Amino acid sequence: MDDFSYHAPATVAEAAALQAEGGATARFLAGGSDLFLALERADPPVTRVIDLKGIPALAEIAVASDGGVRLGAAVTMAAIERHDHLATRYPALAAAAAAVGGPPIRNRATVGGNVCNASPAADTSPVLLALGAMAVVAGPGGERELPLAGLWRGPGRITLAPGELLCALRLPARPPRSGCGFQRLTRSAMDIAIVNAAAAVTLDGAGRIASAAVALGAVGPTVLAVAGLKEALAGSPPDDETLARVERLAAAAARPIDDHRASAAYRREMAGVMARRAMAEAWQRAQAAPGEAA
Amino acid sequence: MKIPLRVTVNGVPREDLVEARTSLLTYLREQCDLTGTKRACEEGECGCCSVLLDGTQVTSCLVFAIEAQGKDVVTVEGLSEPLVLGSLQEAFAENGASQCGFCIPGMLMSATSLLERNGNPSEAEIRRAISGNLCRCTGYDRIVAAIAQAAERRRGAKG
Amino acid sequence: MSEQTFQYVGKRIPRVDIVPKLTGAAVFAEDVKVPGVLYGKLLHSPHPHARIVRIDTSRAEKLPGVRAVATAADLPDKRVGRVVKDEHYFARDKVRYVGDRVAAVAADTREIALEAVKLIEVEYEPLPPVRDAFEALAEGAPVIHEELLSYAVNGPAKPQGGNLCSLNELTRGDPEAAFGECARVFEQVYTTQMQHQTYMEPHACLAVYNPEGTYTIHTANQGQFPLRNVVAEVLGVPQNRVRVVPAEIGGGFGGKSIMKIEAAAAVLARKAGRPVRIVMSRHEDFIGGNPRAAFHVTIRTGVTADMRMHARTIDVVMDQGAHTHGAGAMTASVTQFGEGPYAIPNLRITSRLVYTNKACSSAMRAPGGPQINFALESESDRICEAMGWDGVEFRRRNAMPTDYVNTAGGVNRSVFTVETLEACVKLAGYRHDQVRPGPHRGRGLALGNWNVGGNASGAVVKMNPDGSVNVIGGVVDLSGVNTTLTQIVAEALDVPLERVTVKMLDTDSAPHATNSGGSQVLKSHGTACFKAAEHIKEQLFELAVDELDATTERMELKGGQVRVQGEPQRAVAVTRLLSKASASTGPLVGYGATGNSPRMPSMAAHVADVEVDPETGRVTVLRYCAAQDVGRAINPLSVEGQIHGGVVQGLGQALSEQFTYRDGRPENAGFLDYKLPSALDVPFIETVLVEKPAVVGPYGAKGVGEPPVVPVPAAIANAIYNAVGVRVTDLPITPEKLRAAIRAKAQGGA
Repeated sequence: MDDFSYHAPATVAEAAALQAEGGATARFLAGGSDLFLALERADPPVTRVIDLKGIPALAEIAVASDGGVRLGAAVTMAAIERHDHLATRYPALAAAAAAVGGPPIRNRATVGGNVCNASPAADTSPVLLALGAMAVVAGPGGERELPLAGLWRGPGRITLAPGELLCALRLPARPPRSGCGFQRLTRSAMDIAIVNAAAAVTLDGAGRIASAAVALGAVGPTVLAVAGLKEALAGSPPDDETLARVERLAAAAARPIDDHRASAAYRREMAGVMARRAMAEAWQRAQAAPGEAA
Repeated sequence: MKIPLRVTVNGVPREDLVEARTSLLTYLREQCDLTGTKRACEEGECGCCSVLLDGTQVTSCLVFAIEAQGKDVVTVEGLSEPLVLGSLQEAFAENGASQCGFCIPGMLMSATSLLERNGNPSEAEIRRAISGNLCRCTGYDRIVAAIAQAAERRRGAKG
Repeated sequence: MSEQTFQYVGKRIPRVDIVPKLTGAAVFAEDVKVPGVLYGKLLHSPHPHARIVRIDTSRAEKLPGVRAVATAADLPDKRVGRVVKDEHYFARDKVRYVGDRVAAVAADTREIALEAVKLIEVEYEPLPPVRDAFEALAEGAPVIHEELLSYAVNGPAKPQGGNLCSLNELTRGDPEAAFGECARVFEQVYTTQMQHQTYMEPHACLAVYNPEGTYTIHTANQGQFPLRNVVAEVLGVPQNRVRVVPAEIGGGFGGKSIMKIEAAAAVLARKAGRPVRIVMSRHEDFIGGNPRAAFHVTIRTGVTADMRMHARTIDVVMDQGAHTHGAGAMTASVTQFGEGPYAIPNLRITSRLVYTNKACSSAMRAPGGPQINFALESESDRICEAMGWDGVEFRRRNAMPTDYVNTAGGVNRSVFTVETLEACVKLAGYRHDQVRPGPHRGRGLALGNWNVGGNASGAVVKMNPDGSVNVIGGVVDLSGVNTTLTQIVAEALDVPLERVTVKMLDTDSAPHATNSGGSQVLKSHGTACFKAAEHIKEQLFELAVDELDATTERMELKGGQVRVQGEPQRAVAVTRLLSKASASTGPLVGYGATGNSPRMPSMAAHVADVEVDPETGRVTVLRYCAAQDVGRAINPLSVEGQIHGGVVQGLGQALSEQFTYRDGRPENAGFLDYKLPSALDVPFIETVLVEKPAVVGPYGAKGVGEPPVVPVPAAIANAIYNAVGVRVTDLPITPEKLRAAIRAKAQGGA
């Protein structure tokens, strides 16, 4: 009890140094909704908490001139849900943020916290992955970027070294004729995802699929991208047969386990259904999207 | 490790020493003597511990007291004058929205948050606003009705 | 009671105690403040089944800040239990479930108490756990209570040995012979889950050991008298030396009618010489709680061509958990409720109450009711479909009539089955007016009953010199009863509502009462208050005899006066009579009491409209209609609230709630994975109150708390069947389960 300390650094460098000093017993605090629950179970016990909310840059949503977005790691789900640009251009992300917990949790839970908690069921993670997000990491050597998937090592485990800090997620601009979708399956209305799926699609001038991505959550040790999807769908018309292929590919890509929430078989089947529905949502939006960059 | 905490609670400035690890919930109940905010799950799942932190609704069981440094906290005791009900609470009373009463402080926080942002919420919006509040007694029915009525009366009062 | 207009009865008034609940001022058990309080924590067994070899508390005792440690050694060696006395408060020789109490500590802070609990060393010899009721009954199963046949028994339990705690049977007519007379016989098995009450307020109490050697316990419990009696029994002290003070209670639903933490707090308070507060964490409340028992129901029904159910047998196996607690409610109720809302001439109900190494099942809102009804009413629909019969007409034909001699031999009075059924069908609308028909949408009907009654209770009414009234009762206000009692007394004495105060007091001050639960408080306390009010009236009339020069039979009490009926000018003010009394016979106190009165059925008929997503198995409840036979709604606002809340608990049981174990270890002891309905899961619940006054009960009112949970799972299961043609016979009907059934049907399965 006596050796538990709280720190509120003003800069990223200070925060990173505090974490490097404390090693495995030092954790970053953003929204706290995951950290608090981890306090009881963490091994080694958490003795140092480093509050990131005093670093303004981490809570910013910056829209680039091309429409791409840099999301500070400490941006809350509520802020994402209500952001006009995100709701218009990245509606799947707004939908995923809107699905996390209930209103008071969304006021605190952050996108960086969600990603770094590395639960395979995290809601924003599949959307970020499908949209090609890059993780911006600050460390002793300065800032670096890596593809988001490189951040996750396994359930609850990330690849950041002591002294490294996720600063932001950078979302590329959406090309013309693009859309994204997000679906999640739960046992009741307020629930962790039993399966979630995000889809992103871009259509060519003839209305056929130019590029596509699907990412699945809660069906593997990390959030999974459905490999080979873009190649499999390139040139396809957005019709039921194509959607059926999406469903099959997603179900095949899933690597679920049985647990007290659901069986592997059900999760596998639902991965296909949710992926199909997310893709249908994505290309409906793509078909309505402007032909040239707005 | 005890840290000095300066915080305004229900409009009253306070200076206390808190353990770094103490939750905002425990601080409010035990050091501020405000037991209206309830401890029911301590996992952020039920909403009974909701308070307003700088005007934003949070589950105080998942907030360190020290995170309230320099901020404003409003609990259920601060939603109205002592012994006098505000219009939201009156609507709860008239509609039979409270049975055992344990979830009610949290519900009032959610309703207050909602009505500040949205003066004309639909039934769906009201249900979504209280989706993070579990109630075992009322089936949510009269709580939703009370919030709708409070919203209507406020719109009427504004003319 | 003739039909008269009432001033206060029948009015929708807000709860009299509403203001403190809305301002945060209401004092619940954890809010009770006392100087010098210590934090108490229990040590629970980590094993489902194990011998206790050794307990060493020395390291815990030495931790700075620890003020007391308690184990079985601090209590008399005595088993308690309402049905079968099978439980030591702190485990002695064995632990029998994860959550069983082994010891407790009291310390200066919560953190020290948590640390101290970890320092108590217990050496266990694990034993193989009995994981479910069928494993328990199998040949060679580990025996959980080796001395079962030597335990003292209360009431209807009939211990058989092994893990069979009770075998009960009730028969009417000759079912075996009657099956032979039937046109067709149906048989099916239905199974239901362990469901937890999940009141929002976890168990909490504060115990003080007083200098004169008595105990004061502030607690959230559904009955201060039964609690006091059990605490006294466990501690080995006379009942008068324990005073239980009821705090506001944050929900109970039967889960707070058992003594869980109070004896530990009391022992710790005595040993430490300081008050001790124990508050269960949500996790502890789940593992150490008293859930609704899982049932396995085999139901066999024979029908004749005239749409009648002619013969039925019901075999129930109830998964009790490690101790019987209040399971007597179930043993008795299963054998009563097996007949359901119907008159079946040949019926046998057999129930087996079985020990397993899990949390101890006990009363949860209508114990046994929804589990049995799920079987009864799913069968009603199944039978009707097979026979080509209309479901409403079938239920009407078989409906229990009034003054029915039930299978247990008593007479069911004031039975309004058909009226309730028809009220619901009318509310729902024959042509599905409110819900557009659509693919994968369906409507389901279910009819259920629950016996509401009244347990022994007393009430005191005092009239003050200014004519205002104080009422004292001895139960807790679980369901708004303080308000309803205010209305009853105001009506009886013609005193405005704000001049009547009802308080539920502690066990030293209040007349005796049983607990709040079993839908009986209104009848018991309502009747007791009514009688006490009548007693006041009698005394006032006696005092007025000289003044009015009339006999008491000719008098009435109206508007603060005693008057001669029909002659309003011959009147005397009540306040005048009261001063006369103070000067002569003393202040007026009225006392009323009721004994345990026979229960009578209250019917509930429900219609559910659902939509199924056949690809995922998710069910959306689009609309829900509930009709209930309430006798008289003293406070319709309160009655409707009970129905809304009961229906939503039933929806949880139907679709998402289940407390699960794997190899004797709880898997989901928290709200993340124990799925309660949220506001997004349920629609507004439409209600219609059938008010046909009962022959007994204050103003003809019946208890209302339990009937609304009974028909819900069957209504939902029937609606799902009508939506997608699939019948799920195991609760809860989760999306995964329903999806599996839909897929099996599509592939040509069952």
